[in-house]
Amino acid sequence: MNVAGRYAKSIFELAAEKKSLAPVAEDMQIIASTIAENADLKSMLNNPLIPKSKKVDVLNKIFSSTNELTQNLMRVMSSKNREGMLQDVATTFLSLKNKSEGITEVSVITAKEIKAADLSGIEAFVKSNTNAKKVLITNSVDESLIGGFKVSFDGKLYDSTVSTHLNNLKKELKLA
Amino acid sequence: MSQIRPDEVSSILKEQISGFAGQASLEEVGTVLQVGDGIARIHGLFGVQSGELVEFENGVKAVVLNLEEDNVGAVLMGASTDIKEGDQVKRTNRIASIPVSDGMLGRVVNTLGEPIDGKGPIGGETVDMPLERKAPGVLFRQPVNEPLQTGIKSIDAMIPIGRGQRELVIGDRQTGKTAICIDTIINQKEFYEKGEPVYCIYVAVGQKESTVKQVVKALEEKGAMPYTTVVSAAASLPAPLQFYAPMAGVAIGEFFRDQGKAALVVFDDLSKQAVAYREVSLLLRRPPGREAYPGDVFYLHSRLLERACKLNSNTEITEKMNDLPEGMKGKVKGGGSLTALPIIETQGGDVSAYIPTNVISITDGQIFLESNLFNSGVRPAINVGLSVSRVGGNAQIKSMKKVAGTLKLDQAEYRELEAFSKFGSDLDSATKAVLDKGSRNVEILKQAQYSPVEVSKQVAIIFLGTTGALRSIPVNRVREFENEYFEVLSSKHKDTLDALGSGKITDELKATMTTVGAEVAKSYA
Repeated sequence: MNVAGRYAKSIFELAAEKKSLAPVAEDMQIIASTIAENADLKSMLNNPLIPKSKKVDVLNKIFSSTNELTQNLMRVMSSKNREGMLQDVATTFLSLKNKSEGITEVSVITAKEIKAADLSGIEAFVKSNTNAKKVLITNSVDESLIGGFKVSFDGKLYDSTVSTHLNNLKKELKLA
Repeated sequence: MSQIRPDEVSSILKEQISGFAGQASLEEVGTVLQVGDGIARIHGLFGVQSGELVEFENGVKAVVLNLEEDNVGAVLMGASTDIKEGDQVKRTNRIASIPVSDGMLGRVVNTLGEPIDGKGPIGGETVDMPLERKAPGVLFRQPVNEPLQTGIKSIDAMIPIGRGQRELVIGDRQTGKTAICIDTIINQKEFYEKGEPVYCIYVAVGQKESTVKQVVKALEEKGAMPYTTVVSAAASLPAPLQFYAPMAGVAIGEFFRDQGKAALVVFDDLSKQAVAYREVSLLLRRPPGREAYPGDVFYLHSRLLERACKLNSNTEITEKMNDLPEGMKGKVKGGGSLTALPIIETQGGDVSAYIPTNVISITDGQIFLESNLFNSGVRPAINVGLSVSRVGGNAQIKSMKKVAGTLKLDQAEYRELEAFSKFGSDLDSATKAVLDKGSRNVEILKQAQYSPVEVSKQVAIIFLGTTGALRSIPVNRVREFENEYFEVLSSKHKDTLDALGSGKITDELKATMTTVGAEVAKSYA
């Protein structure tokens, strides 16, 4: 297991013991999205030239409203010079939590905006292929796919986009 | 090239497109974490097996060799230049294998079984043969009992090779290792013409493309290509392709072996394969051992050479063979064989280096070539004292066994006395006789490249040598005599040669050989 995984596992187990899984999860959600959206924040955390004390100050100011456990995690991580891993820890924590609750994260990429009815069809498809109790769908649009959709979950991929089919056809014709 | 008609093109295209499966299916994928030095680290691919083929977006394939806690290490079977971090990798659910068919005969292919000789696609019904396959178990084998005629007098007489045997050819650079193997392939033409071919596979590992081209040209000129496949992984190709090339060769050999046919595979050479494997292993961060080779380099060679064997002649038993590929089911016939001639190049005659000792211990004997013999004009430069064949003796035809037994003893005695004779002191007549005979036998065993000799002729000349019938001929004219003797025999005593070739040796045959020999010898005295 990598470094982020070890931190995530520890905080996850601790939160479960203290019965504060839900608030910590909320914090992690905030941390993950905040760092993902702010490239400056990310590069600051990864910058070895910025002193540790400044990083701690910044983190404390941004995430002041978080749970005590989360605050402790940030303190421990900065004392070990692992501030740059905060985002990885947060996302790993969330996937650990989803796994323990039987939630499968699914990413759906379509060429055009997808209708809600189609999404429920995808949900049923994912449920039939995994033992997921609940399915969490994130949807994004990528016009370069030309048409169709791409569903990925649990290291599996269902690719029915026009661009992939065209590519396969290209390979086949090249071979012959 | 003939003109392509437009309607032809579109009809073919239509056919292909209508047959194109546009169906998507659920696939297991991973993403590339890093790529470089022909190695890709991949995240995901949770269910992947070791040895499985995976495919990148651009169609390049890789073989999974390392399964680690949070990543998968795969070796690329193509160029790594078009692969980027974050690229998708698909499982193929297929253990690395190559498509093999009868159409491969006469062709030059690469490690993946794709033709590289520009003669178009490979025809015939293909069967997927795995690169890594477990060797047949004890139950499905039988002892080596048929000879593999190399056409080289000293080998067929003193270091006989049987079908299904693994005989190492070892020596320094420029001692004629490849030449022996090529001559052996050329000698199988006789059997091809008789309708009982020994299919040959020549695997070139890490050689210059020009050298491979020369070999192919020689085989073509001698008419050996119709029953031969050349597998080439040149020095410019990535290391994985080089170390899988012998396995591709053996997979092609198994295709013939399992169908009850005889096959011969030459690995030229395994030292380069070991070097390629060392490169891949070090890049995969496996711990290095002696001479920086990984710990399993012995296993690499032993599992490769173990696949050469003589199969049980009972088809009912061989049908149940272990690890039989799906495509071979129903095609299996008993009695097939796969003979292996691995080549090892030594540095300065040092056979106690790591790889040479390994391969010597795996094989059923070795043919040891020496550069000082080569330079003193003994070609093939086989050191008869150090060369052995541990199982081939049972496979020798009876007539050859009889004459060769004496030859071996004579030559051992000759080598012992030869050292003394160098002092130039007075020799008694008995010693002189041994030396005379020995030096003439050495002449008999000399042979030019690309000129294999039929076994019947070999018996005929060795018989004369061992009976001392060449005594009156000057040493430097022995080879001249030999040619004339062969000419007389094949023009006037064809039946004698045929009888010798079929393994018979009677007093009558001996008498014919002696009289013909004496007759021809008259003009040389």
